[in-house]
Amino acid sequence: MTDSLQPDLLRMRAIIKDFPGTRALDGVDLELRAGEVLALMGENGAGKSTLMKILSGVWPSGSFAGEILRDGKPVSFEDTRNAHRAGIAMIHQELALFPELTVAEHLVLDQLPAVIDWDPIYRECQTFLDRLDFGLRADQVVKTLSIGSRQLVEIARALYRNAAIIVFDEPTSALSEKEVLKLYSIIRKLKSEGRGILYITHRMDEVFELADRVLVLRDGKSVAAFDRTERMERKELEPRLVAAMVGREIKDVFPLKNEPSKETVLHVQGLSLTRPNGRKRVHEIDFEVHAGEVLGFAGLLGSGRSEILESLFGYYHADGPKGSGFKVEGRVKVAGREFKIGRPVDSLRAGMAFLSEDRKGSGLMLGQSILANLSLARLSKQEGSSLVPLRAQDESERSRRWITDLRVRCTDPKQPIGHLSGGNQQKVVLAKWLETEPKVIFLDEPTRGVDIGAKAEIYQWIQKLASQGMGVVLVSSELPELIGLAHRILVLREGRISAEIPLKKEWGADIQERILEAASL
Amino acid sequence: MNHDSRNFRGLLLLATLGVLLHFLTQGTFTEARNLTNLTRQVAINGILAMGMTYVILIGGIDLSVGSVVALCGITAGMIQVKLGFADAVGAQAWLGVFLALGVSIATGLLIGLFNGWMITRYRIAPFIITLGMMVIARGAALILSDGAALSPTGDLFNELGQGYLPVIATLAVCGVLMALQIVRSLRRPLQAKQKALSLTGILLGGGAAAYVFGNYNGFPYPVILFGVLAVLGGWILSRTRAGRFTLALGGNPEAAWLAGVPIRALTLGIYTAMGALAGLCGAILTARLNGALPTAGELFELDAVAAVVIGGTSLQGGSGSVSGSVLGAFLIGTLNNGMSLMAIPEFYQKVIKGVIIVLAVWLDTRQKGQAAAKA
Repeated sequence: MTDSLQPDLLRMRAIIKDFPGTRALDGVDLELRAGEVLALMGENGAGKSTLMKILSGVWPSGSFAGEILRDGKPVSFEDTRNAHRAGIAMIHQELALFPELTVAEHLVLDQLPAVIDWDPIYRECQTFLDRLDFGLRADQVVKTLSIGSRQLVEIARALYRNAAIIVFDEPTSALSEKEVLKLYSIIRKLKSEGRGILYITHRMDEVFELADRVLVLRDGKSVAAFDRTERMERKELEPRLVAAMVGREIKDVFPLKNEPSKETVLHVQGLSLTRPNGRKRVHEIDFEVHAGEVLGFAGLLGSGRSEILESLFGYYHADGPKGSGFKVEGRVKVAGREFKIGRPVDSLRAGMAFLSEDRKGSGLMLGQSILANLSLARLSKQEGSSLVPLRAQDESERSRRWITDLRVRCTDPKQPIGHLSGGNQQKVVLAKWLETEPKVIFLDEPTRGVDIGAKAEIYQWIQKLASQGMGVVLVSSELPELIGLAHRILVLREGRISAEIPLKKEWGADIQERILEAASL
Repeated sequence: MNHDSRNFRGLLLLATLGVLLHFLTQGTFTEARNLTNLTRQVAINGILAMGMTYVILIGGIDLSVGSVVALCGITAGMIQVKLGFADAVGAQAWLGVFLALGVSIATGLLIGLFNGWMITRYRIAPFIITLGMMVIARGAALILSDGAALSPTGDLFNELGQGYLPVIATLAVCGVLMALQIVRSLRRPLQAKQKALSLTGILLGGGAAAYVFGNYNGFPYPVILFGVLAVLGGWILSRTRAGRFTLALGGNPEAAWLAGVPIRALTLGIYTAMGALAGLCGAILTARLNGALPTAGELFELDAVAAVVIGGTSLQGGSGSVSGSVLGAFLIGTLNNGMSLMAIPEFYQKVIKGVIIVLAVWLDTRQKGQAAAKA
């Protein structure tokens, strides 16, 4: 309940935001009081990021319905600067910093005079930083800092502007254990200074560590709010949080697992990836995938999960967009046959497929039709002259079949894929790879930015592919997803396998903790 | 918005412009002689625009085109003039033609290959490497020719730029093409209304071509080359894997690469083809002018880019069509021709042309934006 004397630091009321084809937010209410940490939870695609974009002025007033009250007074933001001025600061998940600028330059960037005298600025910033005690120096160039320190720069910037409301968007996803503890203590300090903290997270531990209240979003609606001051036991609260996020018990979302066969479809030995600067990102990894098996890769952001798949598939080949300089080594057998890691097209022809993590960045041609996206991989898998005419009839029949099979909601295969929702786009990308009839498929975060309904369908498909004898490698940041689908989980840490966890039919209640422990240590 | 309806609007615009110019020039514009000349003027820019469509579709640019036309023209001119083929007759003259044409195309091809190699191997931005090549090729043309024109070239060679397919053959080609198109359109699964529309289009277009070229000297050879190349280019883009790969590469290079598109070979191939087309245009231009000028082809690259952009191809790559660029080339050609006929001073012509190009693209972008907002 709102304290009658003092208005809430922030209120967002009945926020509605539409995108072409989807309603991202559907009447969300949020209130934040001074001196509290409000955890904002929800699955990917639940609308957390959209809500925060509205709060930080990325989506200007007028592009959504509903109102924002700051200290009880209605405000409207035309752009992010307006939001800054209203005392709202975002600490982004993918840090929004300029690698070539110094810490001090970041602090003063948006309030620079026309003519700059740097010396007093650096002195003033250093004094400010010393008071914060983050261990930052004003003249450090951001690109030389660790991810954790970069985050501290963002926080310092927010405090330099004297922000009253600070939004953290999954701040610990790339941090080490030590950095996480430091962040916790900083957040507690901010709280004691009377600032309001909005904390977006997937991790239960963090919620129970920091949050005073929890707000859960699902499919663009606020579905539940919990007040931690009511002293509910974690054992009692956690299942309710999960149920609120997922909308049903996790058990029901995941299909029954099949029994994998003994036959090996992918055998990898001594796989390593070296960056152009000589640093190794993947260290001599060995693993194998059996026919009909879902092998899960767990690990923190930057643990090398994606790089393993990218290396195997040929992403780092010198002809590719990254250019030469990367070195991939390792012995690979696909379905028993020796395979020399080459270009993606070689991997395709050997029977591999790779649904990449970044759908917009490397999965789709957003401006082109469903059909063009869907047949691309099959077309390049074909050998022979590329001047042979396409078979339009066959192509259109194929795409219609996939649209029906995967229940892609669209009007026509010629429809631009950018008009579809995230879930439907992802189904098309999946179809693109299944069109190549792979023996083993790599799925890197296959449900990122996908709504709950499509998510469940994708789970069904993964299970179906496995039971048809395909080998599946599944990378996911969502542990329930890995546990629900995989027969076996490899936990990665700093480019090495740190644990192997079998998940045949039964597993203990502490499974999530075991994985996290192996991932972060 | 799809390319068919875009092209339909483009055709309407062109027809309107034609009618307007007919009245503004008291009928001179629509005379068979003038329209024949118009198509011949369009041919070179059209061929370049066809190649440039591919270059822009993969998100690139080739600024060296105009200079390469000049350099290749000079090589053709040198063979014709310096090797004494200009006065040759019989088999000797034919040898001169093939030698000049071959060397010109080969020179362009090698330059294109070099551009593509630098782009794919050393990752130099296309803008930079082709800007450099623009200056280098121009310099080379001036060096080879000593800064002076090389003329006259041989009569047989000049046919390439000035000659005509005889009227009888022209009419026969028109007839056969129309018949083929009619059969094709009848066999396509279209609604009656669409069918009627496409038949009308074929009859009108074919009839107009037969009338114009039949009433004068027949098809100019450059126009035939342009027609064949445009059809081939359009067909490759819309009907083959290579075309799909081109669009994919421009639409999202990362996604194309992961999906197995041979992005390096494709890029190399497209710049090489662009160079070869520029080489061909160099030979045609030399033949048309009865000699090679080291200063020829100035700003051809920009006319080609303008035609492509007016034709609706996105400078970001990934979306566009050859037919749009062909229409764009005709639009620019019509403007040039019409303004000359109306005796608008050349300095003003440039301003008007620039304004119209900007206007056309602006209107198109606005329309696309509205279409996207509606979706």
